[in-house]
Amino acid sequence: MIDPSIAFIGFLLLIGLMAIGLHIAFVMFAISMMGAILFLGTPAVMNFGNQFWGATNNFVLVAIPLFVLLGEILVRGGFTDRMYKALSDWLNPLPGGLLHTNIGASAMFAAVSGSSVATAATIGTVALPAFRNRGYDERLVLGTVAAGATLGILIPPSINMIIYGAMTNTSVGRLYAAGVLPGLILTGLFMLVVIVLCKWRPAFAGPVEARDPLLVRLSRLVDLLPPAAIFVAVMGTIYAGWATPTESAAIGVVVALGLAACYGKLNFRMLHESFVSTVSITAMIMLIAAAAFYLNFVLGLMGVPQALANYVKSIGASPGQMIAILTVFYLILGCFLDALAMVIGTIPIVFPLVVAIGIDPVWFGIFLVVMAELALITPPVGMNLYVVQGIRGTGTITEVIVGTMPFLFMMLLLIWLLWIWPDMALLLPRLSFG
Amino acid sequence: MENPVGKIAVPVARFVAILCGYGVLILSFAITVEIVGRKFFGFSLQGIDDIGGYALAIVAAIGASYTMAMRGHTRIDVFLIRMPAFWQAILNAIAMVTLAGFAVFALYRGQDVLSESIEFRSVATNPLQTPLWIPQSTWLFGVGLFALFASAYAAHALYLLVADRRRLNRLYGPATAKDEVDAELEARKEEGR
Repeated sequence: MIDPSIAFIGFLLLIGLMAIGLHIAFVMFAISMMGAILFLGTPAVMNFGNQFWGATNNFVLVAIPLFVLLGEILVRGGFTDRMYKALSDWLNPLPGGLLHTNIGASAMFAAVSGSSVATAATIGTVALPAFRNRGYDERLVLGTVAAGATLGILIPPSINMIIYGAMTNTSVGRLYAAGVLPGLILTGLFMLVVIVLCKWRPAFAGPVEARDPLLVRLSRLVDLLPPAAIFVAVMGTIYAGWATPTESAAIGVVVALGLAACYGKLNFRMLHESFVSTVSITAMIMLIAAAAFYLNFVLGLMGVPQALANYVKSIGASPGQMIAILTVFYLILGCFLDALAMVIGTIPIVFPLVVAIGIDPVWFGIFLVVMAELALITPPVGMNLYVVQGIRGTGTITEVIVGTMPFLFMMLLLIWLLWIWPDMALLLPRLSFG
Repeated sequence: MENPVGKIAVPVARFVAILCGYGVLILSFAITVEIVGRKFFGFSLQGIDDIGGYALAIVAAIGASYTMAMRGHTRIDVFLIRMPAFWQAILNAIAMVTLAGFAVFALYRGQDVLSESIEFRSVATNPLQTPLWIPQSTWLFGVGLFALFASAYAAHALYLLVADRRRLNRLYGPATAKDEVDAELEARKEEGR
C-alpha cells in the first residue's frame, strides 16, 4: 500500500506547476508520468497512447462538442432579446424590478445551455443596455448578471456534470435531475437577496415603471417558445426515455439550427464561426480530460484511492467535516483556477475520498458544480466577472466583484442547505430513475 | 498575425477545424435521425455510438492545433503576470516546450495504437465491424498536426528567448482574460449584424 503522503506531495507539485503558468493539461500529464515512472514501470508509461485514444473515444463525452455547438448557435440565434423582454413583463412588479429579469433570464437560458460563460455573455449583452438611464444601482445590475449566469452549469444541461459523470461513472441523467431543485432554489435565493436589498435601500432599484397592457404582455409570451422548444427537445427526450443525455444534445443542436433559420440568422459565416469556437473549446476541454483520465488510470494502479480512503477512515473524519474542509479547499482553489479545470483536476484525488466515507456520488457532483459556480465569480480568476466587465466596457472590475458578493453568500447558503437537506439533490433522481 | 509560425499554422488549423465542425453537425443530424427512427419507425443506424466516439477523439486531436494557435489551452496567469519580464519569458518558453513534448509523446504512443490495430486487424464491436485503423489514422493525423505545430511554436519560442524576450512574452504569454472575453463577445457582435 502506498503512503498517502506521496499523493500529498504529488498534489502540491501539481498545484505548483500550474501556478507557474505551465499548461494545465501538460501538468496533469507530467504528474501522471512521474507516478508511472517512479512506481509502475514501463508498461504504464507506454500505455499512454491507448489511454489517450480511450479517454477521447467516449460516447458520454460526445455531449461536450454537441452542447458547445448548441451554445454557440444559441448565442448567435437572436432570440434572447425577445425572451428577456417577455420575462421582464412579469418579473418587473417585484421589488427590485428589472434586476429580477437578469436572474430569471439567466435561469431560463441555463435550462438550454450547458455553460455559464456562454450564459453570462448572452444575457449580459441583452441585459446591460436595458438598464441604461433607468436609475438602478450599477453594481447590483452587474452582480445579478455575473452571478445569475453561473446557474448555467447547475440547471441542466451542464458540461461540468457530463465530465463529472464520465470520470466517475455516475449517470449523467441522474446528475441532470439532481441539478433541477438546487438550481431553482438558488434562483429563488438570488431573487430573495434582490428583494431584501431593494426593500432595505429602495434607491438600489429604479423607479417603478408603467406596465404594458395585459394583452400586449400576453402576446409577448410567444417569445418564450424558442427556449421552451429547445428545453423540451433536450430534457424532455431524456426523461421520456427516448434518448441518452448525449443523444438529446444532438436533438438540441438540430432544433436550435431550425430556430436560428426561422429568425433569419443562419448563414455560412455564422455556422463557420460557431464551428471554429466549438472545435477549439472542445479540444481545450478534451486535452485536459485526456490527461485527467490518464492521471486517474495511474493513480488507480498505484493504489492511491484506497490509500487515501484508508487514511481518511483512520483519522475518523466525518462526512460533515469532510464537506466543510472541501468547501474551504475549493473556495480557495477556485480563486486561482479555471472552474472546469478545477473540477477535472481534483476528481481523481477527491472523489475516492468522499465515496469512501459514504457521501453519495450524485450529491457530491452537485456540490462540485456549486463550487465551480463560486469559482466563476471569485476574484482574481473568475471568468464571469471578466465577461460582464468586458460587455460593460467602462468602470472598474471592482464594481462587478462588489455586486456579486451578496450572491456569493447565497451560494454558500445553498451548500449548507444541500448538506442539511440532501434530498434537495437526491429526490428528483430517485423519483425519475428509482 | 505577427507570429511567423502562426502565418502557416492558423489557416491550416482553422480549415481543419471547420471540417471538424461539419463533422459534429452531421453527427447531430445522424443521431437525431437515429432517435426518430428508433422511436417511430423501428429502424436504427447501426453503430452511431461508436462513430460518435470516434468523431470526438478526432475533433479533440485535430482541434488541439487551432486551440494552441489561439492560445486556448488553459494556463494560470495570475502569478505569472506579476513576475519580472525575464522570468515570464523563461516560463513562457518552458510552457511551449513542455506542451510540444506532451504532443510529441502522444504522437509516439498514438502511432503504436494505430500500428497494433493494423497488425491485429482490429474491428469495432458493433454490427458494422468498422476496421479501427480508419478512425485511428484520422485521429493520429490530428495528433501529428498538433505535435508538428507545437514543435514549431516551441522552436520559435526558444529562438525568441535568445533574440527578443519582449516579443516572446507578447506572442507566447497566456491569453489574458481580456482576450478570452473579446473572443466570447465577438460572437455576440455577429448577432447584431
